[in-house]
Amino acid sequence: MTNRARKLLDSDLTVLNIGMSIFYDALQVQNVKVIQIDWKPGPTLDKLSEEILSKIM
Amino acid sequence: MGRSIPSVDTHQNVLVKHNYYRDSLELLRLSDEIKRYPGIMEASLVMGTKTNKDILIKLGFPINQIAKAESSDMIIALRAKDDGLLLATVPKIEAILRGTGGERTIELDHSSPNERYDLESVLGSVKDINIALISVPGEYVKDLAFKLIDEGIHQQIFSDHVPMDDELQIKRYAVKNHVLILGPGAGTSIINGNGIGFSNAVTAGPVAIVAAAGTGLQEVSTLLDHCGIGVRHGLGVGGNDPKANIGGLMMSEALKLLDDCEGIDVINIVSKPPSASVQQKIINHATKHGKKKYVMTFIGGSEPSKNIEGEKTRRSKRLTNQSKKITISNTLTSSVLATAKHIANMNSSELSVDPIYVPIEDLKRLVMTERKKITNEQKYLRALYTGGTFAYETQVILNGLAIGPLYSNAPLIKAQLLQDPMKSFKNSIIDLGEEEFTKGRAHPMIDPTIRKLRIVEEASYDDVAVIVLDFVLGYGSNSDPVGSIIDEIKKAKLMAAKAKRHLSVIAHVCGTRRDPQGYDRSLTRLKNAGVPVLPTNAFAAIAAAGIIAKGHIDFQEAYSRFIGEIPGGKLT
Repeated sequence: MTNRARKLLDSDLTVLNIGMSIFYDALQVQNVKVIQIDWKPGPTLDKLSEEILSKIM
Repeated sequence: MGRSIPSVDTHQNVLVKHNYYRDSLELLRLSDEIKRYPGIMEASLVMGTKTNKDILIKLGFPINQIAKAESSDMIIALRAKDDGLLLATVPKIEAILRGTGGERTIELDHSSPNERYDLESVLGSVKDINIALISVPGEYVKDLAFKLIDEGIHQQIFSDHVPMDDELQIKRYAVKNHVLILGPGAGTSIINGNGIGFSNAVTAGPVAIVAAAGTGLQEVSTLLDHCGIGVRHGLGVGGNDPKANIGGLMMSEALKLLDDCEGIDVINIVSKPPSASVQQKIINHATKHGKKKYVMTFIGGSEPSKNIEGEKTRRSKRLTNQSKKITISNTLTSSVLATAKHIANMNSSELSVDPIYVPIEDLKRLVMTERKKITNEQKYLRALYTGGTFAYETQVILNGLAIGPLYSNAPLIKAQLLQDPMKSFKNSIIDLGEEEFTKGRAHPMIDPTIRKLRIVEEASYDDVAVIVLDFVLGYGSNSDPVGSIIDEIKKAKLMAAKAKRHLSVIAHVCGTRRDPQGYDRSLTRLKNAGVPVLPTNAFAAIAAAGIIAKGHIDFQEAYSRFIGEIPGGKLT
């Protein structure tokens, strides 16, 4: 743990922001290098489709 | 919360878009933008969670149109001065939403990232990523976390509602692979002076913090900043980490890591009281292997600023010799004072804590001034917190001062559970960051809607004497936490005044003078609205307790138990 994590504390940050873009903005304001990931949950099924799927699977 | 009835000359429309997901912040931004359209009086774009549906109903939208929406559906609720404006606005919103479909919002989203990337392609092409900040719904965290651990990427997991078993598996796998996991539920971290998540513009300096309490980290780091003491690193490990199930896995790793950091003199550990085994593990580490001074802030633990040699157990010669390096504190304020004392001692210099300290006579005077204005029928306080640690600390103090009956949606004691979080009862401490308020919504530090409604509602009750509010400034928070709510505070006070009551509103602003929202400006606006602002949450809690108890609390005891008296506001 220690060597890899110490490197984190000693290096310039490059942050992968997965989720809320407000945190991307907050890091940019501080001149921290940040990459925004496009993340969305998988589609949800309606109840009827769920029932049909559960019967056939 | 009371229901707000729209006037008869308004027109409204509710649309439900099935299986249509956007994250709560995108929707909040969009709602705020639509509200600024001429003639639009209310615009709420939200996912159809129970909390969001309840709020729309309280905002006066028709139940029958809202009730059928599922949590995977988006609701668009609009109110305008005339039907023409309503009809014209809906297609504009549809166009904007089409533009946001996972890509950048073209018309409105000015401050959002210019580019968004696919995770796989980034992992395959960018090699210097050293940390990921994850804020996706909790059920999706485990898969992401494992994938990132395999890539050797440290993580701060902001997401709540990650199952405890998932957290344990993630952390065990991370330790095995030498990866640091901050969170889940870690709202705040500071790495090399850079704030990640909800955090403040603090100076880097000789203090490091390990925190299982996000707002606790913000309070300690900002109060130290006010005293001229910098914080280089602040590692938020998440609220579950010090519990027996997780066993302090990341707290231990963080301590080992910070112990090896040059330029750090004091390590402050901020947490609710850990499990007995984790507490012993931390103390053992500090006494046997620790290279720094330690302040162990176990909020609600035994006493403020107690030196470890005062413990009756394990009073070995070795421990006594080492003891001066460990102080145990029970509130965030006493923790900051203990940290400042270590720094003053190490530098052999005098250090002023004036900016964060209220002399006992000043606090008594404030309490008596407010107390004189309230009626005998006004008996209760209502604390509406955006910061969970503040809600917890205030309960510790009020319980300690025997202020009751006390209830909370996040109670310290099970018997004090508030039956309906949406409705206060007697003295109530509400943590607005709890799940029932945040499912499908932005955190209350960002979205003030729920608190705005609640302040006005609390002011309508004849028996309420005091409302306690926190305002958390800094990166990630609302762009103007005080400004977004000041009209409701004025309205609440005016409502009470019309009913021939004085409503006392007590506030604490957590932030620094370099935070983007303007610390001094925030204080001035509150004071101009007749709101006394206390420099720390603990002082605000004691002041509120004093008003409720009609001045009959032992201030000396309160200071002794929760603050620690500092003669003349100077530490040497």
